[in-house]
Amino acid sequence: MMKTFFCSTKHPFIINILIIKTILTVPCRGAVVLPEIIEARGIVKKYGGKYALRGVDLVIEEPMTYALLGPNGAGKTTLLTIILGIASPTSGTVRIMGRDPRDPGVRSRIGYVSQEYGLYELLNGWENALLYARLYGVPTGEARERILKLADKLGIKEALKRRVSSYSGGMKEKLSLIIGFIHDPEILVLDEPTTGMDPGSRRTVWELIMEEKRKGKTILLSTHYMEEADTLADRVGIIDSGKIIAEGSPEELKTKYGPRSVIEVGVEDGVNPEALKELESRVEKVLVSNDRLRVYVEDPDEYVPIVTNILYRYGVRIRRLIVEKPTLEDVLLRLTGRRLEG
Amino acid sequence: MKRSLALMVSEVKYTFRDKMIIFWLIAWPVFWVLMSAFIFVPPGAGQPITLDVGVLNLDDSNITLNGSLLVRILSMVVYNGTKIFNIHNYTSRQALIDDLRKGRIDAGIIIPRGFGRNATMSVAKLEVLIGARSLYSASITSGVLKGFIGEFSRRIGVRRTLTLYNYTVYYISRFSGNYTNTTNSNMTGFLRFYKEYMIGIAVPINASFKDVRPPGLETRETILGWITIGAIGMVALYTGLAYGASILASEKEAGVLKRLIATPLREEEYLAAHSLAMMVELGVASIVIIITGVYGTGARIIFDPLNPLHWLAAGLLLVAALQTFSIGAIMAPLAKTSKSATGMGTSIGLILAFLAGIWFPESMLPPSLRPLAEYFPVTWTIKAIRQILVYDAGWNDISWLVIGSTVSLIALYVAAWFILLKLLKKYLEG
Ligand SMILES: Nc1ncnc2c1ncn2[C@@H]1O[C@H](COP(=O)(O)OP(=O)(O)OP(=O)(O)O)[C@@H](O)[C@H]1O
Ligand SMILES: [Mg+2]
Repeated sequence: MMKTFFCSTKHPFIINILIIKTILTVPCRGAVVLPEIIEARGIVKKYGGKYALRGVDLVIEEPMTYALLGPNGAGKTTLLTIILGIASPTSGTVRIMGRDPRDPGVRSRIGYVSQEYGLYELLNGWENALLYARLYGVPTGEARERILKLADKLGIKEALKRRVSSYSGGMKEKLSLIIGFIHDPEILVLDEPTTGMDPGSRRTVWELIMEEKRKGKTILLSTHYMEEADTLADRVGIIDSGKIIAEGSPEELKTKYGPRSVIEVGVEDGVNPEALKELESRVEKVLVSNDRLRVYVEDPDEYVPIVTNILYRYGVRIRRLIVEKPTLEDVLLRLTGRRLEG
Repeated sequence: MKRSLALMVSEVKYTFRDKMIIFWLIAWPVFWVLMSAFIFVPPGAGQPITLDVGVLNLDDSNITLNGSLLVRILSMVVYNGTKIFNIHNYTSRQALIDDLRKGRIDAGIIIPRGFGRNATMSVAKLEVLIGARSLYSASITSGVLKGFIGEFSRRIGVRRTLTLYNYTVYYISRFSGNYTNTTNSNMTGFLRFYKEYMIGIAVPINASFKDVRPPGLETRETILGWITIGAIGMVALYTGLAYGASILASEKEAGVLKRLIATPLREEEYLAAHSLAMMVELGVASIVIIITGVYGTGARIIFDPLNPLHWLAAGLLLVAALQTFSIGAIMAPLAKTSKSATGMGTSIGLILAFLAGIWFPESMLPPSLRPLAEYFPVTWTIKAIRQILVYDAGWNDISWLVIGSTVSLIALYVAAWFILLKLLKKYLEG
């Protein structure tokens, strides 16, 4: 349950952040016992007779970015609200830095960006952000500075004076992020932080998150964007139907659960069904979306000629062909048989 | 506490930016106070009215009692220092009727030829035409004129009776010797009886009229004071009920609830913030309503900063806010959405305002409904405020009302707190 560090280990940074600020230092022959940053064990959540979570363990021992990746209804939001102590689990336990997540002392160290923006529509950006600053006990001057800096980065500085009701979805998401970051918390819980943003904004948010990560923050986020998990996460938990079905670094997951290689073929005018049928009989799996084919194979050297040959025979015109390593999407598809993005 | 205040400030700001809420909190009561003041209790109500009376005098009698005397008396009738009749002279019947039809005058009196002679010697005719400038004015005009003419004709009657009596005495003494002879006491007794009997023919009943109204309802100013405080009570009822019933649901729907609870704000602080917001909002609405009442309609609301009882009344306003908020909160679990909660709170609040003696006087309610007004705690609070601020009551007049409203507040608030905390937990799960 507890992780033991010896006082002489190579974790001076963690020890600084965690020991000094918080935590029980239990000397056991020169050793210090540190609680996990986030520790959720055996979480079960039932709504009526339906399970939203069926026994989830999520443990984050040291500062990192952890991404919960899963399709709609997988149970991501439910798990996050239970970890935050907002909802209570049907069974199971949650500890944050060894303490009850409902403890105000713990809450003041967590930033939460909910999936719903959770903003007051008739207040302007400033008023919304400053309210949360006050709730977190951030001095107004300091808060203003921080809000300005973040808003500038996210490109909504001008909009701060406007009522939130006039914001676009992406702008609301950005303000919501500012609020989550307002008290410079040690732990950030972000429920789908980039949903509804254009690709440019998404990049900006990713940069922001990576910056926090570099500062040694712990970030727990949920997403159904593969690329987001791949870019940001040190660790990814794939969640489906209320269970974490695989966990590891993106690389680990790809090697463990992905195919050896993926042949991606760009075609013109789509693929006819006969060609697809024959392909599927020869390889492990074929994914089709419009003019794009993804063919899962073990040995690309062997299969590239086979694939091109079949396509050629059925008169499919190839525009380009690349041999790739698998992505998280391929992992997810193999594990769940479902795709996340359209 | 600091956190509660921060949330309360945002909540109040939010409220006053919501046009719907502004309508219910400010516009609606102000509208009713003004409506009541100028339509149901029009200026001049409670004061003697002045009627415009057109007179066409055709009398040519050459004696003291004639048409001109009647007109002079009409123009001199005074009630509480105000002339009742404003006389306009006409020279033709047609012109008089035209003006009546156009609503320029309230009534017309046509004094026919020979009026004076007939009033002295026989039966005089008088034609009274009642106009109708507004719905009520016809009955008022006719009432006032009937009263005046009745009185006028009674007085002529008494005069004529006395004249007749004097002639009688004169002729009796002429034909049967000196009736004042002290030995002839029988005769004196008969004459006294005879005189009184004759006057009785002219005035069989001499009724006296006196206004006996509840002291508070005596003037227009206090009626308007009553209404002004009633408007505050009405607003407290429906906004409190709607706010208490809907607040959790609406913040849940907006997604704010989870986020607020994820901050160090404790659940109790969250609820305290909303109770405070309700008090501030009703406080602001009350100030606007009182200003409208006092400066817009002339309502009597007394406030003396040196009188602790008047501060108690201000505190009672906050009690009313929390009472209604609590009642709303107790109803909150009945509604599924914030919309249905708001609808439920507003409609029940409005109905209660009418049925519980808050916006409508208890005395106007059917007896079967009066117990509601008698036992409804918010009515106690509003009654106490009225007693203090409108009728200048002392502590002894209101002590029981204040105690009742305070005790009921505690009970209601504890129940509300319990229910809201439970509901909050439920909403956080979903
Ligand atoms: N209040 C609730 N009552 C009943 N069922 C619920 C409730 N909240 C969530 N669920 C169910 O629990 C399951 C998990 O929902 P959750 O919101 O955690 O999914 P999610 O992974 O966050 O999905 P999304 O990507 O759409 O946000 C879903 O099947 C959902 O229908
Ligand atoms: Mg979700």
